[in-house]
Amino acid sequence: MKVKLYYFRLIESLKRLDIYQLLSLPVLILVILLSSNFKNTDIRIGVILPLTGSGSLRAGSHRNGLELALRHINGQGGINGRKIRLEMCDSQGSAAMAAEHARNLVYDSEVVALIGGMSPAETRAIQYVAENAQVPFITALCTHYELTENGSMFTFRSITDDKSQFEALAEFSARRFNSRKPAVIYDSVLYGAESAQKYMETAIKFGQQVCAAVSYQPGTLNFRRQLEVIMASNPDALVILTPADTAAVITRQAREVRFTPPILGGNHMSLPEYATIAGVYAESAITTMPFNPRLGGQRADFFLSEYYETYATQADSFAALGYEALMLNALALRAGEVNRLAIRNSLAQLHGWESVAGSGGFDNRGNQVKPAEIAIIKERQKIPVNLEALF
Amino acid sequence: MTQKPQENGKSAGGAFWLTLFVIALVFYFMNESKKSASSRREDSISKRQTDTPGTPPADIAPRKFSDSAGSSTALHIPFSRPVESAAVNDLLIDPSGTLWAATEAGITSIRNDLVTHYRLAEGTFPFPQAQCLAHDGQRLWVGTLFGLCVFNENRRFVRAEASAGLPSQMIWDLTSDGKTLWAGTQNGAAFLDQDDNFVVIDSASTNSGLRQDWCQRVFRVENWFVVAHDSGISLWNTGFPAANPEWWKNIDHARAGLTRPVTDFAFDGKQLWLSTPRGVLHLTTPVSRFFSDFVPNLVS
Repeated sequence: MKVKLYYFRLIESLKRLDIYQLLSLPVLILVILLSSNFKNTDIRIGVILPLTGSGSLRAGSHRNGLELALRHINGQGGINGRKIRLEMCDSQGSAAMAAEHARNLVYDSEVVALIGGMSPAETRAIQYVAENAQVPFITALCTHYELTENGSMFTFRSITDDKSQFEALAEFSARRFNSRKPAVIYDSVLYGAESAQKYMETAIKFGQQVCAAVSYQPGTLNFRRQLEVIMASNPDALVILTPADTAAVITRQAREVRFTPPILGGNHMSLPEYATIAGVYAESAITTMPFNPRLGGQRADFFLSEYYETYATQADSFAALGYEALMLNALALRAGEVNRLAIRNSLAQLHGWESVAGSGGFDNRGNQVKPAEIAIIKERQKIPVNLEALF
Repeated sequence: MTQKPQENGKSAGGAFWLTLFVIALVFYFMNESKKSASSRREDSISKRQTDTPGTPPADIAPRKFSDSAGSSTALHIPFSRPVESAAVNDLLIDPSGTLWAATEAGITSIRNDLVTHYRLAEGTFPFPQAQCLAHDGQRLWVGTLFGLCVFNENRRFVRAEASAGLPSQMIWDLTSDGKTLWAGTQNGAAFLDQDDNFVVIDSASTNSGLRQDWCQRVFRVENWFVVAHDSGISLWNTGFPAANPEWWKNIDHARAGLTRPVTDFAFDGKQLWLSTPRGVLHLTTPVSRFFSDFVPNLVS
């Protein structure tokens, strides 16, 4: 009954209007609609990660970090009133798939920025599309040094690269153990050969001469032959440039054949699976550490507690770096217009920031300026070397 | 008594029009201010861009081709300001002397100061971007990240039927030796046979002769087919079957100290030259001796 009453009242009030007034109503509505943007006002950011396949655990953590950052940013009103939306894509660890996703995100979804990549090939595939289309791209997981040394203009890396890790390892081993002739073992198929080459170049700067660089084929489980070659050259340290699980097996086998000099490795050796597989043999191994919560202060405390509350698990470095990557995008978006070039320019000007992972900044090639941090494994825990005395 | 409501109606109508006018004005100015703000922002080139060698400052940007034509096409040549306008991915001059540019917005041709754009929005180009160009002596081919296009007799670009036979629709490079069209794609290389079908060359079909499938640059020199891919460079002696890895030579990125990506190839009649972000290099082995005593050494 009430609806009927309102309907009649509306008809009556419309009857009172003359023809001009009646015509002006749709015109007014049309003007307002045309003046406002019909498009969805959400700011779209594309994310490409190997959410399935061998890297899925790490990618999953990274995605959780990104989504937590998204919740925090949108919860605080978004970017100048506009919400951020993440377009999540699974590369399955394939460069070809990553490239196709990047293409679709850039040209079809018209994202304003890209985040992602894990393996060097996959990250390069995203990078090529991003550079081609001039879309800002942040990788927070790929450490391959070449990524920011190839003349790129739209690529940014918020994690310390291999070069910084190698410098930190070489410097630390030279200073702490007086290492002068380390040996290197690397994967011959993955980017191990490139890393080994880079490590050898870096070591020279710190007065070291790599005495043996030994490779192995993927799938190798018995490293006795490689270890014999290494031990024959009598090195004073062993640098392992392999994935975490293989590094753990090499560490076990090296210690079993009484290889006593220090064992060192990059970020891969800081992964939990290294300490889990290597067990007691991982004791005193030296690694670089991509995320130290102590450096992030209150921000890190807040992030860690929120992460635990949301996902009922402890945040790892991948989650923290994901959180940081989206926060960097938000920082760039707040600084200027919401378009690809403006975001790229804002990111390029981010020479210093404070985040959950501590202080950071991009250099003029878009690379993280923060030096790599060294940790020592004690009782399966990574202890930053500057706090070693406390443990 | 009857006139009063009419007067009220008139004044109400006037107020309505006034409100409409004010609202329209407000929205108009809001939109204009947004546009001008964004254009102001695009004008500012950050330090990193201006510091980069090779990027011309805006004030010495290449001169416009023709101001007298008065057409809007002549005023928007996409490579006059490289960062703000559509990025140019490839250039080619066809046998008739027309310059073709493959850009992130489509294709632009320039002939006798006449600039023509081929765009997705105008229905003259089937994809949002163009990556690379090749002319096989008869047809102009365009490789895009969405497939292969050909310039047809109606002066439009259409998706080539042969495109379906490519190992991937993401085409990174095209080259032609005057007779045959060669393509480098995300999932392998391919060449067009006499029946206009692509013959795929990938790591599987070559028994790892081609070390990697992501073919970023392709080049033909004498009887060699050269591919720059994500792992290095592969060279195939085309006089022999590609399936036999013995007829392939490979140069590894890491071992040769080569920086990715290889951006171009050139041949001076003796040696194979390549450009990278770290400079120009050439293979120490002359092309004529690739077959006999190939040494994968590069000299910058």
